[in-house]
Amino acid sequence: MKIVACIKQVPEISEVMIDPKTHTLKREGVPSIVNPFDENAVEEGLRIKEKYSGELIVVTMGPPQAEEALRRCLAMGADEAILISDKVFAGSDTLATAYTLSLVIKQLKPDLIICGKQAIDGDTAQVGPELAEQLAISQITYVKKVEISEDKKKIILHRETDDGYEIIQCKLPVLITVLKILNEPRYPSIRGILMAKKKEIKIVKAADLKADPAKLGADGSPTQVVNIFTPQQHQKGKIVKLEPKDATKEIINFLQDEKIF
Amino acid sequence: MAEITVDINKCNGCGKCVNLCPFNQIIIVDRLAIIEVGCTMCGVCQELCPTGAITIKRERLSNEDYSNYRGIWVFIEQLQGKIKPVSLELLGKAKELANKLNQEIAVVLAGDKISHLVKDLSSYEIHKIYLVESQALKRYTTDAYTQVLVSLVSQYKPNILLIGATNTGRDLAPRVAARLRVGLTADCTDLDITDEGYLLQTRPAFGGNIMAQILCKYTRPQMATVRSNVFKKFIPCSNSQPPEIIKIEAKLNPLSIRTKITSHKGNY
Repeated sequence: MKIVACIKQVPEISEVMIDPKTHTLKREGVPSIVNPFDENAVEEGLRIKEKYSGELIVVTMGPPQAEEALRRCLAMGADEAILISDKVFAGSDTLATAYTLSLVIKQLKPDLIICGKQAIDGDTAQVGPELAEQLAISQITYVKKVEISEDKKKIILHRETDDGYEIIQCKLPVLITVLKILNEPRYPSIRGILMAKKKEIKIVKAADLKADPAKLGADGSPTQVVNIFTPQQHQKGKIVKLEPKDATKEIINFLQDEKIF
Repeated sequence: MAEITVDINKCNGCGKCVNLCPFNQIIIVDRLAIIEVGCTMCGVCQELCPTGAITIKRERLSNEDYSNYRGIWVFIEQLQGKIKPVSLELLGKAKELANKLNQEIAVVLAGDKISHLVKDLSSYEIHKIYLVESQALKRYTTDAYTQVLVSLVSQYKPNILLIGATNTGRDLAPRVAARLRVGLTADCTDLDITDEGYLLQTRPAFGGNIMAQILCKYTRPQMATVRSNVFKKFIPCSNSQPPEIIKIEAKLNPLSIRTKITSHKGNY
């Protein structure tokens, strides 16, 4: 089986890193990591490869430093890594990103493509389905369990729904997006890390693709970020420090004044 | 394609842009701002550069006239004949947007044996209900629902299409957007109309640390997903005009539905 895992390099801390004075995002010194959901994608790829034999190729689109994220996946046990990186791709939104990925992945002819549920920086969960569409294959999102049929032609998946789960069968090839609950990603072994250092990472530039230039980068991106601001801080709550009896009265008065009660 | 340039005669290397850049893609080298390749052309630096040294040139994707695209659509998500609350919340927002644009509200109601829901929706000040019934739509599948929605949109050309950001909605919306090759903004926390009549979509990014405002100027419909409990539930109005019902025959080839649900467990 040929498996492709799509990954993204993201900043490690997605939580509070706001400069209290300037209200801008502080990202200096924040290390980059493999998007946590994508680690589950890589892990699942490795497990399927180990059980059914095959190869796992990790693919990312990003700046040159995203190589580091690919090396980690190689250290976990991926066989090959491809970095799609070019100035032309700058400003890609999810649709342009998915288009670019689709051009590279089409050439690989995989049986299974695994993506994380979403990236922790953008949280859109859109690239997976948009990629499946542009590859013209089925998608199954929010997957929490994966089985492959013995003849390796079908996949059986447990998909989380809004009210429970469903079991879905589908012929390969297919694209799945996976949940954290699916597995526990392994730590790279020392041997894996050393091996990964020696491996070559294939760099794909725009010129290597037969791409429609109108579908790449900022030009190929229908969405446009026009403004960025820091969200309003929530108002501080009111603390009532009185004897229980008086405090109760105070709170009831407050609720009545605010017409909540 | 879009290009970002720094005017070396204007840039004084003050470094304000370095701190402003949400994506950490600007460095100062020899008192000059250098834009790195991860730039998303968000335009914050251009907006706020004290010397006006940064320019982003954007070309339009298309010159097509979008005035033919009219109406605010809401995809009504239902499960086993019950409407999801998020869909009703979206109707409230849709009404606001419809008033600002002076356009109609229409909904897409798809499923199997769900015509009784038409009555439930009739008091929500909706102008049109596109009712699509088929056994193949009994449970949600990406393939079937994408076909239904894409064909309706292509035929009736809505200006705006809103979908609840449930697991179903977040599976469906990007598939539809990719097929139509239009923009889609996930998990909006606010929606408004700009002075030029565009849908202004506000959404959190970086774990909610920043808010981004997004436009899809050159593609239609303008698509957005919204999580539940973000907008207030729309209070139905008993004397609202009954909506026009447009029954659509779903032409679904079973072979075009590539996934098969063998069983499901849930509250229903």
